[in-house]
Amino acid sequence: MNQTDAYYIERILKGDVNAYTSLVEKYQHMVYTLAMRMLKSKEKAEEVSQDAFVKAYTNLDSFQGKAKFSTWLYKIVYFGCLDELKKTKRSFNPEDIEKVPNIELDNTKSGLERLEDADRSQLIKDAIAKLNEDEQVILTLFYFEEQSLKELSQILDMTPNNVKVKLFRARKKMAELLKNVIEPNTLNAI
Amino acid sequence: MKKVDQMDKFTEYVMHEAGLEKPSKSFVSNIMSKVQEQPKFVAKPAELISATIWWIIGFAFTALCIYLVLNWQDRILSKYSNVFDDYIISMDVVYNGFQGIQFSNTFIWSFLLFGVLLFVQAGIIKNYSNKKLSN
Repeated sequence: MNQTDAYYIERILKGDVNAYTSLVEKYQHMVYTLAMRMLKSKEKAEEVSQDAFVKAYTNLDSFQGKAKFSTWLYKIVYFGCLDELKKTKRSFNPEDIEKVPNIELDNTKSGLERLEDADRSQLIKDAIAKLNEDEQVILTLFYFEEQSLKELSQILDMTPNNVKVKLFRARKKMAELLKNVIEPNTLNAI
Repeated sequence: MKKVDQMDKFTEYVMHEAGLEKPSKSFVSNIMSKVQEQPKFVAKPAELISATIWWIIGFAFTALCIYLVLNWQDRILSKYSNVFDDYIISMDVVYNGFQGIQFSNTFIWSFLLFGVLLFVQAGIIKNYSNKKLSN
């Protein structure tokens, strides 16, 4: 039976440690995906996302329920990844997105659809990997979790307007990146 | 605006095509073994008397005290107005003044009801403790 996050949190706070399994199972894919997209390493992503889950557990009594549990958890993951990036001294790589020209999206989409499923998925993943960390996180949360701009701003510690601008830029950048790779790939596939 | 909507739909399609990453099979068990090592949360017993009730009790008690003080003050002032007027206040006069005070019905009832309130609370606490011990 599907229960709300609040139900599991209440049980955990009453001493039922195993109730946390349900929350881990529910959010494992999204947490791991966020870490993977930011860190671009399976081992580090796994380590950081596991640490994030443990940190969320140990601080669960300070979770006040003002925001959604997922928002709070993703914030822990996001900042955990930033700390990891600082350790490895990798920095953000924002590109000058204002130079992105207009793109015929229908052509790019039909080009993608002509590819095999596995090829298409890999190609898109490669394109996503070329976005900067913030953009990847924003796109992933916005389209998978349907997080609002306000929730995204809480996770990323930015203003909702800033998130909106970044989201717009990320979409444009993604379209441009895919347009650049889809044409030669589509030609090879036909 | 149409261009923005198209871009939105295209990105949505692309993101869902990419899907989510899958962690290793031992991912959940690794986390749970780390979590098991952490100190357990201990359930806090529910409050016997809520904060709201405490506020009501506090307010009622304060109101009672204010009423009684004002009532006494009026009596003392009316009885010994000449003493206060002349600023001749000695400990004997104050002591004798208190000897003359009689408790009103209001005070007696208030005192009685407060006692009942304390008695009921004691009952609730006893009942709660019994339940806790029997579990």
